[in-house]
Amino acid sequence: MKTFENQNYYEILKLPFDADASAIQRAYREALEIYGENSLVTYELFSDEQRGDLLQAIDEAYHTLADESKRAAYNQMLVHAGLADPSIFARKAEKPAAAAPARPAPVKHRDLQAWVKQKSKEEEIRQLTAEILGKDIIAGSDLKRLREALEVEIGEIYEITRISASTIRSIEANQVNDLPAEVFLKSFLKSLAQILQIDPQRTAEGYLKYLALAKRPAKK
Amino acid sequence: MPVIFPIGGGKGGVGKSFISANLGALMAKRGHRVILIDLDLGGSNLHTLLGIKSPASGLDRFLDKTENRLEQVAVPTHISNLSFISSLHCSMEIANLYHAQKIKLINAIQRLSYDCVLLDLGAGTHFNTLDFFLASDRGIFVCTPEPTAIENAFRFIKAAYLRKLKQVISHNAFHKIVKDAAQDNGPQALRYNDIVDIVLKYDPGMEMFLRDSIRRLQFKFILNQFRKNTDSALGEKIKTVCNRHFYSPFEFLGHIDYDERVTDSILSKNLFTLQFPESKTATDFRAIVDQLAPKRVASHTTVKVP
Ligand SMILES: Nc1ncnc2c1ncn2[C@@H]1O[C@H](COP(=O)(O)OP(=O)(O)OP(=O)(O)O)[C@@H](O)[C@H]1O
Ligand SMILES: [Mg+2]
Repeated sequence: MKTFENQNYYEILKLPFDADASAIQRAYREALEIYGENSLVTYELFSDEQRGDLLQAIDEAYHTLADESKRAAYNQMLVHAGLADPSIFARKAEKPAAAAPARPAPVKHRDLQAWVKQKSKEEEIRQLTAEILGKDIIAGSDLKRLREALEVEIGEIYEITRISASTIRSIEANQVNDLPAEVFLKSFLKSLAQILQIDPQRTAEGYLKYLALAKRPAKK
Repeated sequence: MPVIFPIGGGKGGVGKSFISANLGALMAKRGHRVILIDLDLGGSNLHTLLGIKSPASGLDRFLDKTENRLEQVAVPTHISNLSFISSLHCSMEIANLYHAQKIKLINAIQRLSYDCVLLDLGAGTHFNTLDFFLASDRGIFVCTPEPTAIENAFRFIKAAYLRKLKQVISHNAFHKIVKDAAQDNGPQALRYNDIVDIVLKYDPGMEMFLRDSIRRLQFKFILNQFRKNTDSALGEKIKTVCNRHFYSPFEFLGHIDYDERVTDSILSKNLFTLQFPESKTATDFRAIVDQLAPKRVASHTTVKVP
């Protein structure tokens, strides 16, 4: 079953990019009507856990889009990430009534690449990358830190690499038991490193060393 | 090859048999050669809805090999173009149907020389019922606008969806870990969503193939016993949510109005839509037939053997 994984806040609430405040309110109410615990539409369709996750995502989406400044920051992020066409927001700022397509343009590989390349020039990122590569053992939390510093969303990585969001999350959270078989893991790690523009070979080696260590005590 | 419409839905008494009989009659009236098969082994009652007291032949004679061809055990109804296969005299209940018999029956159904085949399924999610439902990739599920019926319908969909996933995995070259996981029917049995995750993990190259196979399975549904106070957008909402959360496409065929005269019509051995063609209920039925079998089927869609 599909969840809201890899969907942006507009997609979750099924809103166009230029939705106004009242449309956001309405969409939120409708989403709660459909996904709420007592809804006939989804009666016993989801497990409690699944429903909880869906409702949480709906809440996050609403609280971000309903808040002018949070929404602006989020939009900025979408544009930077190549998940939305910059012109949409530029036009919106000039004439708010301009129509926008309902769905964001698909991610273009070169957009994210360019973005990460640009970001990597920043002093903070350069230091972080050097720090990680300086270590013998690289943990998922290191990769997560780097990804977040680069302002890259898991969904964007999925768009390019097709590594599922749950796998990326498991890698980042060092969830040893949820990781794919080593052959796949190795190639996933390399693709991930490529996106984050950090030495793929070193990253894969460092992470596998971390795993070997993490698994040892459990085997005893 | 005929177009097969299995009619299931999990909950008992929602109107699967009533709908099968009336859809069959209306399709036949439009000139299609239609056959109705009662596959509610152990709970057969389609003959009653068709006004047949004791069918002269039935499925038992095909299953016990008295007759070689499934067509031979069909009986005519009082509606021209509409034939019927009863399971009234099948001694076995669905749980006792041998695997080989089931495969033979499904193969025979897929080769019937009719335009449309309607399968009236029993309640519940027994794997034999699911296999009949999956005999075609255009199954119809029926539910009523009540929480318990919707709950059972979702359980039925998930069970059919999971069984389809497992069939696709066992019939194709998936990684051994995936195959083993799909075979596991024990208490740790996988939920429908976990298989996709396992494929992602161990067999990422097969992910797209799996998704495409599941996408080919369509679910159509009818909301029956619709009353004035029911949310008129309910069916569309269910469709939208299901399309959002399942990899298979869902299609809402429409409502069928509740009509108090249905019981009397059954008692008097009449088919409701023919007895009351002007009723809202009959109009609803015709709108559904428009979508399923508009006019004489000129070229048939090939039905894939699962
Ligand atoms: N639209 C309707 N309006 C009024 N009564 C209806 C309608 N649909 C079905 N019924 C009534 O509901 C009863 C149950 O219908 P039916 O036998 O078709 O259900 P079923 O789903 O086949 O049940 P089972 O699971 O037991 O086979 C019937 O007696 C019929 O009178
Ligand atoms: Mg029935």
